[in-house]
Amino acid sequence: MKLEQVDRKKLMPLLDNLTVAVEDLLITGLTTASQTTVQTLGVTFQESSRMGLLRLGSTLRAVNEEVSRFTKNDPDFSRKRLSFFLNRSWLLAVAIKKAIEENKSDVFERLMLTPSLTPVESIEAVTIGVVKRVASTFCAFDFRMRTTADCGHLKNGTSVVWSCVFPRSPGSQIPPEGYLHLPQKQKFKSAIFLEPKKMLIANVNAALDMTGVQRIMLGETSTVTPGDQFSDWDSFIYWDQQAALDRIDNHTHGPFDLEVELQEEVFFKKWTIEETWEKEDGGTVYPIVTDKFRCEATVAKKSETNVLRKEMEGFKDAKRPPGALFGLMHYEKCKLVLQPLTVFEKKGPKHLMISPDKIDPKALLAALKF
Amino acid sequence: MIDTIEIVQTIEHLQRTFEDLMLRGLKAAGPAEINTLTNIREECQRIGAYHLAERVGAIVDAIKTNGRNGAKALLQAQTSLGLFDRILTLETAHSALAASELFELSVINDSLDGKL
Repeated sequence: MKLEQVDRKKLMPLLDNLTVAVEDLLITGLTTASQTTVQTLGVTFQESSRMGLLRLGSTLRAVNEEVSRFTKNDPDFSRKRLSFFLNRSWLLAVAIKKAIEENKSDVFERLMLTPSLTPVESIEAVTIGVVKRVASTFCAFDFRMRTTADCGHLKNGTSVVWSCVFPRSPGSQIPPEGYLHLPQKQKFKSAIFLEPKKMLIANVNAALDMTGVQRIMLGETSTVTPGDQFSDWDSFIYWDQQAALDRIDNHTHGPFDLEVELQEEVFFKKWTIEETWEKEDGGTVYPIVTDKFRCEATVAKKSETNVLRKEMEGFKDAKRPPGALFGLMHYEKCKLVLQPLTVFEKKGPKHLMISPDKIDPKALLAALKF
Repeated sequence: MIDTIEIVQTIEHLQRTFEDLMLRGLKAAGPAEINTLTNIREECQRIGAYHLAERVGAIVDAIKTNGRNGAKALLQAQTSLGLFDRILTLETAHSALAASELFELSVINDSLDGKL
C-alpha cells in the first residue's frame, strides 16, 4: 500500500481513536476496561483491515483475541502476548500517523510491510521440515522446503516455505494432521507435502520474507503435483554459520523487531540432548549440544506437542547418535532457541512434529459432518 | 563485569511488572508498585541501562501525579525494554556463534599442525 492511496480523512481519526483506546486500557486496566474501549479496538481492527492496513489489522486481531480470552477466563490467555500486541498496536498507530503527517512515503511503506510478490512459473522442491501450530480455533502448518532445480529467479537449493491454515471448532476431536487430508482449492491434499518426493508447484507468487526465505503463495490457477521420489537429502545438510553472523552484523535494530526476526534454518550433523529441566510456566527444556554450540529447545506440555515430546525423549535415551537434525533457530532472551523439526535417518526425513498415525478418511469426514 | 543472566533477570522482572500494570491499570497502582518500579529503575542504572531507567522513572512520576501521561510513559518504556532486550540478545548470540566459529577454526588449524 502506498501513501498516496491513503484516505487521510478517515484514517487519521481512526489512528487517534486507537491510540486513545490503548492508553485508556492501560489507565483503567483490563479487568475494568469499559465496553467502549473494547468496542473501539474491535472497530479499529475491522476498519484498518478494510482500509488495507493489514499489518495493523492483524496486530489488532491478536489484541482482540487475547481480550476475548481474558473475558472468557480462557486458560490459553497470555498476558505476555496481550502486552506485546497492545504495545505494537499503539506503536504502529503513532508511527503511521507521524509518517502521514510528515509525508514520509518510504517510512509509511516500511510500516505497512507489504511484501512484493514475484510470479514464478514453476517450482520443483522437497519438504525438509514441517512446523505445526495448534490453537483452539485453527491449526496451521508451515512446510519448509528446498528447491531441487533452478526455478525462475529461485536458484537450486533456495529455501522456500508454504503455509496452510485450517479453521477448527473449539473442542474438535480431529487430530491436526487430519486437516492435511482435506482438499485444497487447487485440488490437492496438503498431506502430499509430507511425502519424500519432489513437488511440482506451478503458477505461484513468491515473496522474500524477513528471515530470507521465499514464501510461496498459491492462487486460483496454481497447481501442485507430486513428482519423483527424492533421496539426495545429504546435499541439504549444511548451514552457513558465517552468513548467520553477517546477518546479525548487518541487522538494524528497531522498535518493531521480533524475536524470530533473524530466524535461521539450521542443520546439525552431531548433536546430543543433555539433562532436561522443567520450566515454571510449563514445558520441558531440552538443552541440545551440537558440534558447534549449545542451544535449547522447549517443548510445551500440550497434546499437540506430544509427538515431539515422545521423539525428544527417545533421542535422549538413544544409545547411538540420531541422524542430522534440522530445525529453526532464533535468538531469545540472550539464548539460542531451537525448534527441532526433522531428523534425517538413513531412510529419509522423519518429521518430529507430525504424528505418524494413519488418518482414516471415513472417520475424518464423519467428524467434519459434511 | 555484570553477568548476562543477571541482566536478563532484570529484563524479565520489568516485563512482568509492566504486564501487571497493564492488567490492573495505572489507576490502581500505589506505593507497592512505585516501590517495585523504583527498585527496578535503580537496577537498570546499575547495569548501565540508563535510557531504560529514565523511562521507568517517567512511569513512577506519572503514577505519583495520577496523570494520563502514565499510559504513554508505560508504552514508551515497554518499547525501550523490547529494544534493549533485542540489542543485548543479538550481541550475546553473535558472541556465541563467533566463539564456536573460532573454536572450529582452531581445531582445524591444530589438526593441520599435526597437534591432533
